[in-house]
Order: sequence, then structure tokens, then C-alpha cells
Amino acid sequence: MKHALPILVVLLAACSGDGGDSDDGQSGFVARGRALFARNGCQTCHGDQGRGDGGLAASLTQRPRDFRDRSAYRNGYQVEEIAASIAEGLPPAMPAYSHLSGQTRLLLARFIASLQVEGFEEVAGAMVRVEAAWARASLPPHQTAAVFMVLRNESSAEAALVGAVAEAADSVEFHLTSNAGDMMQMRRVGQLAIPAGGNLQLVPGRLHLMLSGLRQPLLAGSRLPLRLQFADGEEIAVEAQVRQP
Amino acid sequence: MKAALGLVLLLAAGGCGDHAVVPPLDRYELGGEFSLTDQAGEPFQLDALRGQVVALFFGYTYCPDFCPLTLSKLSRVNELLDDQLQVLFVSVDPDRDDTAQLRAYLSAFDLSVTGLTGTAEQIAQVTRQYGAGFRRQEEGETSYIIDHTSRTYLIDREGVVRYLFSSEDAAELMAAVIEQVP
Repeated sequence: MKHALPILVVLLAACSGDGGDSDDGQSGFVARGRALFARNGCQTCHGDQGRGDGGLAASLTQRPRDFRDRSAYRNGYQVEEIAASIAEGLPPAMPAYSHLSGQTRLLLARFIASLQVEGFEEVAGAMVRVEAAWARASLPPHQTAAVFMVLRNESSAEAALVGAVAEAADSVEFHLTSNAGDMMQMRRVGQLAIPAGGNLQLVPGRLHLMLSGLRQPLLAGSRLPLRLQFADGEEIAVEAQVRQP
Repeated sequence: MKAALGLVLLLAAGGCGDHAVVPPLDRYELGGEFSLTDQAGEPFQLDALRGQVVALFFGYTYCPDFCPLTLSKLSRVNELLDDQLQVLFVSVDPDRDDTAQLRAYLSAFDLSVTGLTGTAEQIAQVTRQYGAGFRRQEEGETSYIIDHTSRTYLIDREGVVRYLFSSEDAAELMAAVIEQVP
């Protein structure tokens, strides 16, 4: 972390070549904002680059936005507007950080604003690769089965998995398993985001594709063909290996 | 707040791989004797396992992810303990989990496990006794899912609950804790 800060300062200074001497102060604010971002645990949901891909992001009912994308800011992307969003929170997932001082919120907002990339939303469509797809052999009464895989996004834009179909089942949904106060819950999620340059892991006890209305038992040793559908219209054919429960 | 909590969870999960520290056994007030029906249709009482070490958990056979995951983990734990563990799977879905369904479902696992079901009242009674919860999420008439307690109960040879495993505990840690039972 000690190393990261000076590099960041240098980069930011280099980017804002048109501003002259006053930018030294500006980048100092940004660096302090970045440190506060880490200290207040923001990256847990927002990711350390503010791309909305923190460890908990996938479990939220509404995913954090990618701070690079100005159109994604719900209450405006200007520094003061961001500071207000931090103070008031953004339901349902973003809590109000009203306990932070006004100055802290402003520094955080400056850091977040520094992540914005002009014209970000126009970045070309996503390219996703699927690895290690497998399905758990179905169990009596053979109505449902869970499918797991790793989705790698090799593009510079976030990808969104919006649907999946399999000949073997009536429907395929995305399900999130979570443990809330010792209660194991499973909930349907509408779509799954795969961060730019990152990956999304569908693993037992966490996230899976849930096949319902199986037309026949899914037997260990067989292969299950699926098609994944992405928000940009792209479709990927996947073959999952069926394994013992 | 959510963010802070997440951090704690992640740290806790990270600590699971650390086998150097095996948490000690405890003695819980909850738990105790109950009467249910096993997958063969025979009446079952916890007392029948007196003198043996038992792992008990609540689940249901239509559960697509967590229950198979727990059963395969317990199968690994049992392997680490040289098959000395008695595993009880108590259904929280008596409407769908009759003895035939329990039998068919459990036979798919490489683990000798006693599946237990009963009337809705009996199941409610056992879960109350064990401080366990379950909540049916209404989706369709036959395709509902059930939120349920994720803990696994370690019961000693006298029938006393000695440890509550979280769903995050690794098989190796569970085996190490269970080995402490005298």
C-alpha cells in the first residue's frame, strides 16, 4: 500500500496536464480519499478500483455501480453529489455514512470522481470465457440440479449474464445461497455481473445455475449442454460435466 | 455497516484453514431426546445412539445446493474419523419428505446417514428444542424453497450437544473438533 500511493499521485498528476500547479493539491486529496476508501471498508462491496466488484458485491440485491461510468451514478457524478450520496445512502444496499465527517465524505467523493472515465459506457461489448463447468448429478426426485462454473471476462467492459437455457430442463435460474444469521437461504437473482478483466465464480454454497423441471435424471458421467445469454446479445454454448453429488 | 460485517466474515472464512487452533467443546442446554421416523419407516429416538458420537443437521431433500454440499462434507468428516460418526439428517419439509423420498435421496450419497421425518408438529417440536429455525418461502405449491438453520450439531455419547458447527467450517476442522469428544 505504501508503494501504491506515490505511484497513484504521479499518474494522476500526469493525466491532468492542463491544470498546472494547482493539481498537486488536487491529487493529494485524491490519494487521501483512496486511503479513506480502504479504511472505511468501501472496497468490500465496491472493489478496490471502484468497479463494483468487491467480494460481497454479488450477494447484494442491487449491485454497486462501476464508478468509471458516469451514467451509472444515481444521484449525479459531481463531487458534491457523490458526497451527498455517501451521507444519505442509496437504498437498498448502500448504507448512509452520516457518521463520517463532511471533510471525509468530500475526500471520498473526490477519489471516486477521479475514477470516472469519459465515454466509458461506449466501451465495446464484452467477451466472456467459461471454464470448469460442471453439474451436480440430480438427486431423487430428480426435479432440480445445480450447475457451477467460472466465467472470465477478458474485455474492458463489465458483462452481464442475463439468462441461460438447457434442453434438459424447463427453466434455468441464477440462485444465490447465503447464510443470514445462521439461516441458510437461497434466492433467485435476476442477472449476474462479471467485472471487466475479472471473473465470477459459481461455486457450491454460494452461486449456481439452478435447473428446474428436469426432463430426466442427470447422471454422473454424462454431459449437459447449456446456452448462456448475455446482456449485449452474445450467446455462449457450454457443456457441463455431470459429477457425483 | 454491511461493508464492515462483510470484512469480518471474510476474515473468519480465512481463519478456517488454520488447523493449529481447534476450538474446545462446550455443553449446550439446547437439544435432547426426540421421537421421529427414519427412512425405513421405523420409529427413531436419539437414545438409540447412546454411546456414539452424532452429527445432526436440518435440511430437506429438495434443497438443491446447501444440503448436498453438507452431506458430502460430512461424508468426508466421517472418512477422517474412520467411519465412527453417526450422521442424522432431520427434514424440515415433512410435506414432501416422506420416508420413501428420504430413502431414495440419501442412498445417492456415499455415507451411511439416518434420515428423519415426522409430522409437522413433531418437526416443529424438534427444531424448537434445538434452537433451530426454518421458514418456507412461498413460490409455487410444489416448488417452494425453505430457509433453514445451517448449523451442524455435535452430540456426544450421552446425548448432550457439545459444539455447533457453522456451514463454513472445513471438514478437517470438524473432524478435529469431533475427535475431542471423550
